[in-house]
Amino acid sequence: MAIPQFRDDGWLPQGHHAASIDQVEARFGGDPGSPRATVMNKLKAWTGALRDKGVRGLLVLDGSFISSKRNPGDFDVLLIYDDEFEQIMEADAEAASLIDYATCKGHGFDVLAYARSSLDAPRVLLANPLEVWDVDGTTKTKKGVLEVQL
Amino acid sequence: MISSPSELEVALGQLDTFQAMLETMRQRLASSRPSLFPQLAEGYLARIRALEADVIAYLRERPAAAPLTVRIAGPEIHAGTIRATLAVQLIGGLQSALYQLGGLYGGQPEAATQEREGTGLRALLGLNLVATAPGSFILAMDLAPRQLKLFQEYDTAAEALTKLIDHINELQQSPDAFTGQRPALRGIKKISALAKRGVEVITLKYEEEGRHAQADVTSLVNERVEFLLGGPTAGERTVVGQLIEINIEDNSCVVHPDNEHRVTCDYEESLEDDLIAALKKRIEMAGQFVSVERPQGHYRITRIERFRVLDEEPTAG
Repeated sequence: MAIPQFRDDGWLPQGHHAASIDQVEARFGGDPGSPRATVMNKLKAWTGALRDKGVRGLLVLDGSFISSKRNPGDFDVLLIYDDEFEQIMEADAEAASLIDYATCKGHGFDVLAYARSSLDAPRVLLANPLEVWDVDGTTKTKKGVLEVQL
Repeated sequence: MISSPSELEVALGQLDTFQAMLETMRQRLASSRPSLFPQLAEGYLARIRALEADVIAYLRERPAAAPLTVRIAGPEIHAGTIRATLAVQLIGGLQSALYQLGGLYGGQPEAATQEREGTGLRALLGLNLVATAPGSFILAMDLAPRQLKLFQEYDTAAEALTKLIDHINELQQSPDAFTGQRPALRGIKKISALAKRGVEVITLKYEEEGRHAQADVTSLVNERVEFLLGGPTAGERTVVGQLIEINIEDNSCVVHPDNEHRVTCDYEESLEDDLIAALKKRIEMAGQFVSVERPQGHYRITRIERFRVLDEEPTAG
């Protein structure tokens, strides 16, 4: 399914919109050499590295990168990882560094990681972690985010 | 940065969610893989710290649910303290400025019966001090209980406050941008005179029922108020002396400079009230100087452009 058009406020329509990395690049990747292209390259490099390490899961993409903003500086992502990632991280420091906050921030993006099997944890059922970025902080309106399968 | 109650609500909700996610991860990893927790936690902690800082900054700037906050900043303003005299001058100046503007734009001066009924101008434009905030000096002020009108635009207190803030923003742009009248300038001066050494800026912020207005009172505003009220520009020719006579029939007045001959000045009607108030006081006046034939060496001001009172107390003699 195609990624929907922007609303008047520059965000995607409310909801979680499934997309592939190729679709994200086609829609948000910008022109070669543009600031958008730079951010897209970082996203591709990071997701490629996760796949290379055998990490599986779901990415929830948010932030100005998936808005109509002309020159976003970074992307925000929530990685809902399959449980095997914890075993991979314990054995492979390089894999663990892929979700290290300081390392990712230094490369220009914000990552939060959460275990898929913890989505049903009682404490968080009052607030769905998947929806933590679904609201525009300024207008308090619901907005859309992208979901990309690793 | 949080700037409204609705944004605060969203931020608090996100804070709660991030904290819950972090706690869930901690419980999940505590027994199985505790070494992973610090690395996984760092992103959440960064977000939680940032949100907490935003919430604290927002609440600190809004000590109470009051429509008007006044923030004072400067090298002499220490966090959480203010000289009592400055606080009194500030509150009194605001009160006076609002009353001036309310009288100009909001209607007629109150009658005794209106005063008793609490619907007179003073009752409508009163300020109640609501709270001060720790960590910085902020006064939260509520406009006195006012008679509710059917239409918001007839709300005298809100109109006077909005007009006050608009005029200050005009003065920040330039003296030429000011659209008010002299009484409004006199009212604003009571606040702007406080922006001097030690107080760099006094920020007025008004938020209520869809209205939002904000202005910074600085020494620049005070300079422009003084200029518009009659302060001379650099190098401008002026005459300094006692205002000894006013003739309201032919719109003229007489200034007696020290050790000089008296100077007759013609004025426009708009200045008459201010001149009458300045009678017998020492003033400085600028305008169009014209030499007169006799006595030789004398001059007259054919049009007063600006004047200001130098000494508030009348000069003897």
